[in-house]
Amino acid sequence: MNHDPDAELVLACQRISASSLEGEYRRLYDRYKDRVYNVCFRIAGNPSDALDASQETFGIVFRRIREFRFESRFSSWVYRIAVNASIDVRRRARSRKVASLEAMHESGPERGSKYELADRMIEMPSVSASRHEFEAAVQRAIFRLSPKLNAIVVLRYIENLSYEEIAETLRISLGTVKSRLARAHDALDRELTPVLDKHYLG
Amino acid sequence: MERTCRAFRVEWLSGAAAGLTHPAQCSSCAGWVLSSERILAALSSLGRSSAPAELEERVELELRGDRSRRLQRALNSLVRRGPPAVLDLRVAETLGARAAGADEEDRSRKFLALRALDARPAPGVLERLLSEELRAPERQRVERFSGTLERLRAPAALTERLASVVRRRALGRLVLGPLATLAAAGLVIWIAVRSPEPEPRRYRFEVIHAASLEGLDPMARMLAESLGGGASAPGGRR
Repeated sequence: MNHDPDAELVLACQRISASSLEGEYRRLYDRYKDRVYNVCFRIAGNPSDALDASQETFGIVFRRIREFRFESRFSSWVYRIAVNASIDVRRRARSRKVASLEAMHESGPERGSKYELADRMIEMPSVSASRHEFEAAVQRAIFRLSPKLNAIVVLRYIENLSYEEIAETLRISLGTVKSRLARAHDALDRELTPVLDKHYLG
Repeated sequence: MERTCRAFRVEWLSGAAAGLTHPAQCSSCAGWVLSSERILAALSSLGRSSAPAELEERVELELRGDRSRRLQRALNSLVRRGPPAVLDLRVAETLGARAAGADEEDRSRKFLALRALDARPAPGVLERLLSEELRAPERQRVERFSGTLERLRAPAALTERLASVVRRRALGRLVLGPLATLAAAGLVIWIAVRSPEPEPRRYRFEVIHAASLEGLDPMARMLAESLGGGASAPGGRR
């Protein structure tokens, strides 16, 4: 494996305990805060849940950093925690929303799958502007993917990780990375084609 | 989809299909490539957000060991489950059976009254308990669980041991106490009887007649010299 660019900083953090966001921990936080937040935002689907997932991620990273043994890149380890935290937050949020919607529409007409009901509750910021509408539509399409496909799309196309890095992060084989990306692409194709047509045709 | 098409698409996505001529022979894949390029452009156009300042505050709190927000999040994620629809049916059936013969109005009144039992307001103390829980979760948990510990009865062996200790102490007080008093009194009497009247001390003096100071012992000589003011020193030196 190539030299981990975070190795020195991580070793420095491992020598001291994390009691506040200062020194080496501050440097590590600054290095990863945007990456973690973006992964969480794209997987969790909204800023509030993304914040929860990011907090959870940094909490775990700083509490467990002494257990990190450099068996993978540090960035892969952080991404894995962020992906799992986001999926967890997303699952909890979905069950909550579905339950509340079920209660509201208990005797109402058939409304489609639970998954779709949950998705309709998400509101992206500044949806009035066309550009933001387009982004919101793309984000919704990503969010509608299953957690596995969602994570792989975010790592590949938002974080620009290589196939090897994705495999290391998600602890799957290269072949699985390729097949999952192909499946995700098919699903996105179905979801996004109408949106893209509308966007490009005005 | 044919196997070659699937293989081509996987390769194309990984960026390794630059030299492949498959799309020129397959209209489906040619359309897929165009569509995929649009999708990739859409995905890469998504803006990147900066982490909000609130995240830093939260991480700081997390590092200081403040888990209240985490607990709150976990509590918020709990789903309040409503009663299943079948419960209403069963209640209606039960009421219907019991109120056989009663009129419809009476039955519906009972039905509504029974449903109203379901909605009980939360007691006022719940808010205080929850705020205490969020303030110091570990302490509250310890208090809650230690309060539920079962109180154990003392085993019979302990009672037996205590009784034997008490018995031994009582025996000691009854027998050893008087014995010790008697022994002390005997010792005092023995000392008083044994010690005789002190004899007057007799001092012995020895008279030595010396012809000169040199015949005296050194102590007596020094005393004589000091009394004589040095006049008796050899050579008549003063």
